[in-house]
Amino acid sequence: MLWYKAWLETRFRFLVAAALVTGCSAFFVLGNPFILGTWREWQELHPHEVEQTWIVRATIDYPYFIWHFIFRVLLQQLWALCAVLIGLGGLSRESAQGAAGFTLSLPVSRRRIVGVRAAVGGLEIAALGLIPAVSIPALSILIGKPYPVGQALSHALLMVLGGVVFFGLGVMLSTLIESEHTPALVGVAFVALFYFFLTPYTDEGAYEPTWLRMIDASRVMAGQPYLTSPLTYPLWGVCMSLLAALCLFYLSLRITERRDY
Amino acid sequence: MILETEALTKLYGRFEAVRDLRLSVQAGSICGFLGQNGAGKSSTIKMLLGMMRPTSGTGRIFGLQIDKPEESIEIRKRAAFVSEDKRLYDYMSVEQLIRFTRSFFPGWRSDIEEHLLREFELPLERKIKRLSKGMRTQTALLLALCRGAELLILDEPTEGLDPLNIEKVLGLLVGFAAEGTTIFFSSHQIAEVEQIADHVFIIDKGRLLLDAPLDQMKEEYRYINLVFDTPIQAPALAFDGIERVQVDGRSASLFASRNVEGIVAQAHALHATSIDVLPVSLKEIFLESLKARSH
Repeated sequence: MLWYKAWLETRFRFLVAAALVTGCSAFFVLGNPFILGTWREWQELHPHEVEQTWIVRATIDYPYFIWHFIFRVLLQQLWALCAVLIGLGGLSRESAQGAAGFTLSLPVSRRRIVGVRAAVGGLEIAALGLIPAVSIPALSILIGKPYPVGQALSHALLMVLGGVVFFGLGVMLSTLIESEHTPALVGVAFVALFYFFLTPYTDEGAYEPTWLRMIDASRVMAGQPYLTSPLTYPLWGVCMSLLAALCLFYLSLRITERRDY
Repeated sequence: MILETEALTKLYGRFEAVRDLRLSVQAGSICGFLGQNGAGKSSTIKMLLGMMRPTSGTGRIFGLQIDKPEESIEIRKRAAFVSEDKRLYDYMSVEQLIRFTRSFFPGWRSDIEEHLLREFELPLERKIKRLSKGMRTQTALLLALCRGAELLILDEPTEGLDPLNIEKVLGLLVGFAAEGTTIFFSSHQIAEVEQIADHVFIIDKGRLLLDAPLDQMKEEYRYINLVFDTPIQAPALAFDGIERVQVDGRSASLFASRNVEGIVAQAHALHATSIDVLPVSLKEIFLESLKARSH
């Protein structure tokens, strides 16, 4: 029943996140003809302006268009934000709300409480990744531009595996900060600053310093425009993200086990 | 003993929340745990249930160590708890919360659940966040009382209830004790403790002030008012068993914890013209104990 509790606790956040992710996917897929039309008009009005490389490619390459808007920039950012927010909760938050006493009176270990909470959150962020993987190929049919399901699934899997560190961050913030709303504010601020800081390096071909590349989860989550085989995955980055997330979970668990409530 | 602590101590930095606390609770008894706000009651209860680690000292419930996480889980299988603030999961309905809690306790008492739902008239479909404070307290009590626990640890169990429901709850607790359940409860409502407890612990500034059966306390503690022909000095009245002396010219008011007959005899020997021995309530014992300590 701890699973049931964790689901009820995060249900609202998950459903809102699912609606946003679906909306974002639908907007870029169904809006593809409109966006391309707008670019074309702009180009006609400004014939001497040099278009950015990614626009040129996105105009003629629909999978690239999807990769850029969805898996590389906007949906990825939205997903990362949702992953942090879904990671929030647990005993510290309950302590701030006054309900930790009830949870801790149950005959279960703190390890199990934290573990179940993390597992449910993990399933939810995976489901959030699965939504675009299903909705993009389905909606693409409606605009007559097929998008391979395998490609969508590969990108979604990479986004989830590469971005699991954001979920770990949410869990950690919630453990460290015993407050109802402060961890959410810190988490949102962190994601906003992270992506704001990375903006100059978002363009394909932009030079990103090596040290930044090492911690750039965004690049790992995006991967390459076409993921044709597992070898095209940024495996090193995925491993680092998973390791960082595991470290954050482990630290959260140790802190929770030792803390007085 | 079903519950014992040995030199239990909890420090928050330099602040002593609980210091060298030694409690012994007999199986089947109803123990009142009294103290002012910040006296250390909630910290003690949290240590008993493994929510806080003792800084030093230890304790046992059912012979299991309270500071060992694995043993604490075993304790919580057999002990139920109602916290001071009665906060539950706002996002669940009463029915969901009952179903959730029931799943952890194989000995769940469905008969008591039905009885209490009828008694408290709790709205099953309503979310916890929409309940009044009294209803939240009733829900918290229901969730604790139905666990089939051998020990109930209750922190202010009647807080927020109206007088009618307070009586219902006190009646229930007496009923549970009659069936063999041990009850350890803290309360600011001393009259409630006096009504149902058979043993009382009084704690102040983290230290145990009093530990005695209620009947014994009420039998031994007395106010003794004395009047003399001539003004009297307090040191002359420092008899064995006197906790506090208040002198006002020719009259003196004594608060005695024992040896009442001996004190009366000594007052006669000092030629007191009037001697009144008055019974004391638990509230007076509590207040006088705190005053005696502060002096």
